[in-house]
Amino acid sequence: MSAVTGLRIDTLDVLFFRGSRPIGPNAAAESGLPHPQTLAGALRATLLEAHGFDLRAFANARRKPASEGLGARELLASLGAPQGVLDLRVRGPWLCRGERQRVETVFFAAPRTLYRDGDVLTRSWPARGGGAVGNFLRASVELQEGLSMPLWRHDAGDEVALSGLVTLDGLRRVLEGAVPQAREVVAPGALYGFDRRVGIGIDGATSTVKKGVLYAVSLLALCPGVGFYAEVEGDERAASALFERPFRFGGEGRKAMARRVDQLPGGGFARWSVPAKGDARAVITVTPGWDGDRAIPSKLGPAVRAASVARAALHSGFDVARGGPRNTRSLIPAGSVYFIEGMTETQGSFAAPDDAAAGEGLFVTGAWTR
Amino acid sequence: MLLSYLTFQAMVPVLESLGPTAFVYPACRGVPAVDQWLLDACKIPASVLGGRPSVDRLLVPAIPNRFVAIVPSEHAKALGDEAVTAARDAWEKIAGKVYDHISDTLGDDAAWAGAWDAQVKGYWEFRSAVLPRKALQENPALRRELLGDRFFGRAEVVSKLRDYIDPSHRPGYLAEQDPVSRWGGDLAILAKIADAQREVAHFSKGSPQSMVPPKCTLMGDFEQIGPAEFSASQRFWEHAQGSLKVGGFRLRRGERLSAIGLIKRFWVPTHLASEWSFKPTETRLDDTATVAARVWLREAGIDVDQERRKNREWNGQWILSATADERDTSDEDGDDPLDLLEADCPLELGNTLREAKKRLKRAPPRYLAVLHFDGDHLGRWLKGELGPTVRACLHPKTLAYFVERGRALGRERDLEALLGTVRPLSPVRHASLSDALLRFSVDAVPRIVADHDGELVYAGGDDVIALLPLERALACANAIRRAYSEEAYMGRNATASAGLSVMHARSSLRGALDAARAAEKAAKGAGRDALGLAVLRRSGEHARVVMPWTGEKGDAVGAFVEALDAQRARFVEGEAGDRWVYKLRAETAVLRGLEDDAFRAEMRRLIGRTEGADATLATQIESLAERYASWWRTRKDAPAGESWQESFCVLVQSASFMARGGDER
Repeated sequence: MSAVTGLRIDTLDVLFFRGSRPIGPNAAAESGLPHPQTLAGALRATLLEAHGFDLRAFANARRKPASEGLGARELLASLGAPQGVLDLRVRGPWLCRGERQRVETVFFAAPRTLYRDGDVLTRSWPARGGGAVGNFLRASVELQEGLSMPLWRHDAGDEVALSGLVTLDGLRRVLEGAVPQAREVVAPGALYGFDRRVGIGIDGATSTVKKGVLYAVSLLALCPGVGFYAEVEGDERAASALFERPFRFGGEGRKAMARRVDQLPGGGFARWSVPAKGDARAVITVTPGWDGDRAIPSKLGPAVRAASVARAALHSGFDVARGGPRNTRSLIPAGSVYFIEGMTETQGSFAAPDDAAAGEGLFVTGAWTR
Repeated sequence: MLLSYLTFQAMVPVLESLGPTAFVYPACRGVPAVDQWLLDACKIPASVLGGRPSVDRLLVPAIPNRFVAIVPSEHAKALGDEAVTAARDAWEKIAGKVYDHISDTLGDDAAWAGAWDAQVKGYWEFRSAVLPRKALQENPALRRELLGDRFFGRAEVVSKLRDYIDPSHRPGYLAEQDPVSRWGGDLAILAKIADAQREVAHFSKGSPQSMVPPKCTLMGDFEQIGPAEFSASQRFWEHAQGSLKVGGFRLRRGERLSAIGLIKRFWVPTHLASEWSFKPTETRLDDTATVAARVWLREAGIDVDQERRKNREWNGQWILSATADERDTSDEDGDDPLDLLEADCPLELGNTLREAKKRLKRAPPRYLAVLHFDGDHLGRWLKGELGPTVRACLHPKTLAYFVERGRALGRERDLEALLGTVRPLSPVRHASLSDALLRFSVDAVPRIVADHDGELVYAGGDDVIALLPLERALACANAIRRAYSEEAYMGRNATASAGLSVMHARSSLRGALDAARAAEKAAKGAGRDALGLAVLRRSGEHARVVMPWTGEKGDAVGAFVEALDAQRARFVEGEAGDRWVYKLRAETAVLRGLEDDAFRAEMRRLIGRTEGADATLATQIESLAERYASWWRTRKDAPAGESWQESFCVLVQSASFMARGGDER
């Protein structure tokens, strides 16, 4: 039976997510937060193994010329992977707070239209309509192709872009056209930190220490009570093998534990959007996603009037078949905001179908006011 | 340097059309790149400019990455577009020259250049913003609406000063004058237009190849150039490392670079040297190991420039390899990076280095410091929110007139508040700020960094990045801080924060730059006017701590850092060492819950029990602790769960580590 299941993921160790950038001697590598593809891959691999699927056979098949042109999903299907697992859709991961099966709140990248001036939060708005201000700004601000309205902050104080994360309540407040309350904004340091480790280089042939070769990594360490929240949509029986068992997550044999949550926070992703009057909406991305290295996804493109998109989140990944890194992709980061007219979809993903099924490019919508 | 050069190229169309005085920020008088342009393009005699700028001065990146110029409105759009085109063309020209050099050296472009264009074209984004001031002058309400009421509050207060002037004394122009600061408001709107244009960030296009090589070892977001297939890639880079050399610039062992990495490495010898007529070998950009050992090298009587000339190259890693404590002979296949480097080290130089180590009875320091310095609230200074009060700007006779008028009108209190308001920014004051920042970055900073044996990486406006030998790092940072507040530069009301990261000469410079930046941010977060310190031990604790420059009100700027630096010598020369700090730090979990006196008493006890410690050590350390505690109570955002006692212990341990040049005990 198809259903949405909420997962609370607790880490059993410090984690390392690097995005396939090189780690050389004397380089200090710092972990990032997990990418949707990383979690989706980890969950799918766990389920495939639990259903008796031979992942080694899949890796071998990927390296054969016959598999060229086949997507991972088609190849898995051809090797007999259970359809229920292949059809599962994963959403997340998002940092969350709570204990065991209970998720009190989920945290999202702060929407890019938010600013902080001391303790005061403000936000920018599209300069729409006529009037002296609208006309002046449209004449003075050179916009990226396809956009018609500049974003403007009407309070010229000493404001800086809000960094950090907002809670689900804070995100909803932005979707209602307001700004979050102070307690709904959280600094990353309140949720996670980094644990530094130093390793030595070992000569493979002699098993002796390589002189002068040290590797330093900063590993992701979540604060007590903090975990990841994710959702899995699809065959409940296929997904059930995920619960209450450790699965590989965070590199180098590290593991995490997934538990089914009692209640989906805020009703789950499908209910996080806020209704809007008319066809003018604000769209906020809640996971990073790729759309051909574009900052404005083609799915929203024609409807977008104004946008605020932070610097691309660069992601590479590893090609199992070749045993080498993939192309670096410029992902639209979570927290990007688009003001749109004429789009009916209230939540979803702007990414390609396979990427969307892995949780990339998820967005929610709300009111575009002022 | 590259970004500074490209920004200068963007300034050239405005320079050619309107001259250097069109620029409000940065000031152009005395900027080496502008002087060079005046000499080469305008044929102005060198004698007029006080001589040709030296290569050292030219290579100090002194131009910030944005500029503001006043231009005729009818040419504004065209000049903005020309500026963008000029920067873009310069980048393509530079990339083309590096490409040609690689192509001439390695040949077979098809084998290595697949991703070149995609990386080069997508790397920079240049933008210009134009503010049509006339539209705002004709419609003051529009300015108010664009800025919001908060901006206008203070400016309107100041405009009320005119109400105190006797109507019969009021000059005619007052009636026509805009009631608020046009200049400050216009600058704020211009900055907001530029921000609005950047709302959608620039996205680089990925490699068009389906199979890509691994990532660049210098800039991990990009793929290396060269073949994607691993063994072919290895052969390509082995060949490149042996052959890609120009004017003393080369690839380091193990480096495999992207197009951007290669351009950054080779643009000086392939482009800039001919553009500004100097020999690439004159650039003398020392590496981290050489900067770390500079003071030691001088004491040893080893002249790096002389050795560079004699051996036709110089590699600071030779210092580390030739003076390493132990020689590991087990790795006879030569794979060990130290062995390989020592194999490169000229025999005579290696002997000189080893002999110097014996003579000086200490090895050259292997740690250095990276300084990131930044003025506090510069945006507010440039918006006119900080600066002198109205009272400070009035002539004593004028002030007396207003005081008298306030009394006559019975509005002394209102007048007092008005006179205490910061005077809104005028173009003249803005120009003087630009000039002060220029003098600071072009005159003061290079001199101070050179005096402290450092290597200046960037000095533009209020921003400074420098590499410093550990022994001189605190003193250098303090000297720059003091200069910033000198009357010749930003004045005593201006403050600044900085971050110092301490890195091993073999560690990642990028990581140390990030750590210095983070330390500077931590200093700002602690309430500004502070110095953050991050000690990145290569195989030990990464310690982070923030300290005040001054300590207590009434002390001279930099008094605290100077006092801390003065204690450093005791950790090196004295017998006392710093074992007591480790013991004290272990006890802080208990001591933090007690009164400060208990902490100080325990500190005295531990120092007193330390062999070789004299009585003054305890007194001086206690004085430092008191000043640190006093500052801690005023700091903002003290990290949760952290106490001043523990932070002070980390501070003393870090100072001790720096005093010993990073030598772990």
